[in-house]
Amino acid sequence: MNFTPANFVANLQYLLKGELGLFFALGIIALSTIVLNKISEKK
Amino acid sequence: MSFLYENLLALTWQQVTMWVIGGILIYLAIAKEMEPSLLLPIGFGAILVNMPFSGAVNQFINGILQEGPLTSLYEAGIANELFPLLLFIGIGAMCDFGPLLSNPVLMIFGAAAQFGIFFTFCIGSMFFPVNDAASIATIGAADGPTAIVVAQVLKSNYLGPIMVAAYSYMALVPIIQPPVIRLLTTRRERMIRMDYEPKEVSKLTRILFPIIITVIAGLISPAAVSLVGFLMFGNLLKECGVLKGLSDTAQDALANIITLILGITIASQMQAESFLRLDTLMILGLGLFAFIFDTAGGVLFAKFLNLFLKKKVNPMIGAAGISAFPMSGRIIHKMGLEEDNQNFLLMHSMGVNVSGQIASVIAGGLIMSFFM
Repeated sequence: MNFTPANFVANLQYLLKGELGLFFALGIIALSTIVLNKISEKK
Repeated sequence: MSFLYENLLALTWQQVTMWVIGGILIYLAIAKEMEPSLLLPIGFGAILVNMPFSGAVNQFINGILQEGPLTSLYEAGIANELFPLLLFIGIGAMCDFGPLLSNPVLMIFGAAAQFGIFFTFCIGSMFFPVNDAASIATIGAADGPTAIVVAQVLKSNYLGPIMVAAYSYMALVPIIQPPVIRLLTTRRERMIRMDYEPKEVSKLTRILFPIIITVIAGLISPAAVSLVGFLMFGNLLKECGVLKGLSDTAQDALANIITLILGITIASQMQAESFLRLDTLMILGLGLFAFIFDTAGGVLFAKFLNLFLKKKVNPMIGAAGISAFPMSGRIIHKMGLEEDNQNFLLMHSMGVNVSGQIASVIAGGLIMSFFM
């Protein structure tokens, strides 16, 4: 186990990418569900 | 007569320490009823594999390999991620996405509450190689099968401690979450009431939902498609309405059999020489850190939203976005009632909690795609 503080900053990009990816995926799923609810409501 | 005592003489203090750890896990499972279905087999298995020359795991004796059943089970079901994935079918069949489907906006809280995973990865990467740091961070998903699959796919050297931490912390959700939530919210915020207007969710929506999620998650994060797919397959069995027998089997017999084998097989990775290391303590610490920051991420995101919303949300529901289902949702509901006995948050917190189940799996998939 080595202590390399520089890795924290170097890997912050994954925090951003990960959270953006999650909001994007769950946002699309939420939107799809809203549309699905609307479609099935009409029926 | 030497055979009577030569095994005893081969016993090390590290193995005895593992017996104590196994005993503690068994105690927590029985006396405190903390995830007993997993902690008990793991605890017993920890004792079993830490006997001198234990025949339960592979051993080289006089240069000859003697195969142990737990190692064989490990190779057959965990090394290829099969057991955790099969367990996901059962979990999917148990999940009721109704509260989430009637209010899909709750989905975003699941995303916010995975903050701890990615933040812990950054912290962990200062001490561990990226594959290990990413696997350790996934403990924060509060989702045992996801943690196992990620650690296995990324070939982490710390599978044993990660699995033990993931399941132990899941059981500790009622102890870990409330103080973090209280620290980040005022009493006034915890008393915010949220109206619940139940909307009818059609059968068509319930059937299409697991299929749509699988397609979307598969397109965004192909590495996660088996995780999401098995979870949603279980849910589809339940919601289709024509496979009651299979759905019941997935929820009951399948989930129980896999859980039983999974627990004791995990213990094959708890041999003293690989478990009793400073690294294990670090992993336990980082896992706790991930849990705390997941909770904080959900609560702070809800508070952030309240800056713009006319109809405020109770920020406590953000904390239910971690995956520990249904425990986290229930805790938030209970905390709401403690502040105001007419504040019923259950349906909101459960909706956020199932969104956390989906989000944690997608987060695991994203981590795998970043580092595979």
